[in-house]
Amino acid sequence: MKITKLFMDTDLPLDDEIQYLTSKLKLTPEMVPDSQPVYDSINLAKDPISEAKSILYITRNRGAIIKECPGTSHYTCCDYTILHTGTFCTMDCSYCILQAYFHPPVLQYFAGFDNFIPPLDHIFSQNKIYRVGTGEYTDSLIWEKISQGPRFLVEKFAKQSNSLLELKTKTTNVDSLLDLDHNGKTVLAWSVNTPEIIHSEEKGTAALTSRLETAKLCEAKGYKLAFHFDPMVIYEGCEDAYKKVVHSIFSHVSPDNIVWISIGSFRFMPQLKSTIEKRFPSSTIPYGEFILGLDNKMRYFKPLRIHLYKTLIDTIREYAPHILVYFCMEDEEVWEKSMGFFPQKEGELGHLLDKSAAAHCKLIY
Amino acid sequence: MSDSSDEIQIAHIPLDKIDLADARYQISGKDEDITALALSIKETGLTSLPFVKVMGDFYIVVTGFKRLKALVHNNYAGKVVCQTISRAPEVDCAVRAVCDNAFQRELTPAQLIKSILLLSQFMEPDLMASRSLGIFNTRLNAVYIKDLQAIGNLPQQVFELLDDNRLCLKSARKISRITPDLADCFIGIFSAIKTSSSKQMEIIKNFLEIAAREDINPRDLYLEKPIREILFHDSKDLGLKGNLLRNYLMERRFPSLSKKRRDIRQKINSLKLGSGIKLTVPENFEGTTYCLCLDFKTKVEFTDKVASLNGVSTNPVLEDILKR
Repeated sequence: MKITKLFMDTDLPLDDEIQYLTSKLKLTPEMVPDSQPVYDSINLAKDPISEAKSILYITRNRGAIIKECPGTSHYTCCDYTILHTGTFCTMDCSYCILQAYFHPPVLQYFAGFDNFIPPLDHIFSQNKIYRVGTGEYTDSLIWEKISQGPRFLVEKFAKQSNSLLELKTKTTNVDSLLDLDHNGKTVLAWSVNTPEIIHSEEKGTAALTSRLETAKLCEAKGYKLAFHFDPMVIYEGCEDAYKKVVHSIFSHVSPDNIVWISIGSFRFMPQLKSTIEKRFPSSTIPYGEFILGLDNKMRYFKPLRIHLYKTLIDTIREYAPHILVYFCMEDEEVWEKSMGFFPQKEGELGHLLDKSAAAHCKLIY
Repeated sequence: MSDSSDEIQIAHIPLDKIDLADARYQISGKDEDITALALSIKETGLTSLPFVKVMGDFYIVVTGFKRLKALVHNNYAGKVVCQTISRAPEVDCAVRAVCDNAFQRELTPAQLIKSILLLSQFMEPDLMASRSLGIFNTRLNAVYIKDLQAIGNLPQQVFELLDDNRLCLKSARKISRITPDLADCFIGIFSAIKTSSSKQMEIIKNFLEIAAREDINPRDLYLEKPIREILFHDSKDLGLKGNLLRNYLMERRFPSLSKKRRDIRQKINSLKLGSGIKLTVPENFEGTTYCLCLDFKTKVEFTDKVASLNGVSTNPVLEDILKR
C-alpha cells in the first residue's frame, strides 16, 4: 500500500534519519502536536483499517522499547523479547490480528535510533541470551527501503555477543542489509505459507518463491535464517501444499543455516472475524472448523491442528532431522502428539531456542 | 405536528362515506381478529373516536381501522362519530396514526416496521430518532431505524413471521443485508420451523458459512434434498423441524467436531456408568481436563457407585476416550 499522507510529531528533530525517510517517501509531513489528528484522519475514513495503511505517523515510542512477548494463557510461549520499533503494516493480510488489536490501527514509525541504544545496551550487558525481534506488532522490514533502521539494528547487534536479532518479514526488502558486517548476530526470518494462501490472503506480500530467493541471497551473505509457518491454514489439499513449501525451502537454503522453524495455525480473537468478513468478503479463512480455545481465541479443532502439524513436521524431518522446530502457542497435548515431546518446565522452550541461537549465531554469555 | 388542533372537528359521518380500503395510515395488521372488539362495541359503543381525514367526497382513516371494521362486522350502517380534519398535512396524519397505536400498547415488530416505513415518507431517520419518544413512546436511534427500514423492504411474509415470533428482529436484519433471492430462502426456512432467536442466528450463520466453505451457491444449498426433507417433514411440530435443521447444519458446518462428539458420546454410553454418574469431556476437546460428576444420598449408594467406577477404570474404552 502506498503511503499518501505523512504525519510527524512537532517535537521530533529533522535529523538525518527523518530527512532520509521523508526524502524517500517524497512527502512533506504534516506536523502534529500529538496523535489526535492522526486518529481523527483514520477514524473518519469509511474503512479505517485500509486508510491506516496509507497514513504514516512518525513519532517517538513513548512506552516500553523492549518488552516480553505477551504470549497467551494456557499455551506454551517461546519467551521472545520484543523490540518495539513501530506498529501496523502496509501489507494487507486478511488474517492479520493487528486489524483488531489496535483501535484504531495506526502505522507508526518510531523515530530516534538513540532511543534504542540504552535498552539494547542494557540487555547486551546481561548474563543471558536474548532473542530479540521487531516483528510482533509490524513487519520487520516494511520500511527497509526508506529507513536506515534495519541497518542500524543489524550493526548494533553485530557488536555484542549475547543477543540475536530476528527480523521477520513477508517482503524481499533486504538490499540495505546484504553487505553489512552482521557478525552472524542477525537472523533473517520469513513467514511462509502456501502459494494459494499467499495469493488469496496475503495481499501486497512477496510471493513464496521471491521470499525464498531472497532468503537464499541472504544465506549467501552469511546471514542465518528462520522460517515461520504461521498462520497455517486448513483447506482442501493443504497438507500437500505445505509439504511443497517445505520442499521449496530446502531446495533454496541449507538446513544448517536455519536457526529454527516455528509452526502455528490460524487463531484469532473472535472480533477479528467480522473484520475479515467486511474487508475480505471473498475470503473463506474464518470458516474453518474453529472452536473457542482456552485463551478465548478461536482455534482449529485440535485433532485437525495435530494432523496438519504432524504432516508438516514429518516432512521437515525428512529434509532436516535435527532442525529445531517449535510451536507458537500450543499446549502439551499438541506438542506430545505431533512433536513427540513437550517442553514441560517453565522456560524450557525458551532454553531450547537459546541453545539453537547460541549454536548458530555463536552467542556467549 | 403542526398546530392544527383548532381545525379538528367532531363530526357524524356515514360509515359508507369512509373508505376503509385506503390503508395508507394503517399500522395494525389487516387480518387481525376483531370479533372481541365488535362484541365490545355492541355492548358499550365506541369509547374512543376514530380519526378520519377528508378526501374529496369521502374520508380516509387515520386511526381506528379496527373500530370501524368492527362496526361493519356488526352490520352497522348508520353514522359514526369521528374526529376529522380537512387540511391536515400528511406527515401529521402519519404521526397521529403511529402515536395512536404506540401509546395504547407496545407495537409488535411488524407494526413498528410499518410505522417506520410510514414516517420514512416524511422524515429522515435522524429526525425520526430525535422525535421517537413522543411518537413511539420509546427512544429509537437512527441506526436502528435504518435497520428497520431495510427489514421493511423484505417481502410481506417477513412481517407475519416477525409477529408470529418465528423470526426475530436480529435475524430479519441479517436477512435484509443479503441478496433478495437468498433472503427468500431464509424466509422459506423460517416459515417452516420455529426456534429461538439465538438459534435462528446460528442457522443463518451456519447456512452461509457452509455455502462459503463448500463453495456452493447458498440457493443451491437451500434446494438440497436433506434440507428440503427437513423443511417439508410431515411433522407439524415446527420446533422439531427447527432442531432437525439446526443439527443438520451444525454437523455439516463442523464435521470433524461433530463426528468426534458422536464417537465419544457412544463410547461414554458404552461405559454404562449408571444413573447418577456423569462423565464430561473437555469443551470442544481443547482442554485436557475431564469431569466426573457423581450423585449419591447415602454411604451405601456412594460405595456402590465408587465400586462401579472402579470397574470402569479398567475398561479399555475409557482409555480410548482419554486418548481422544
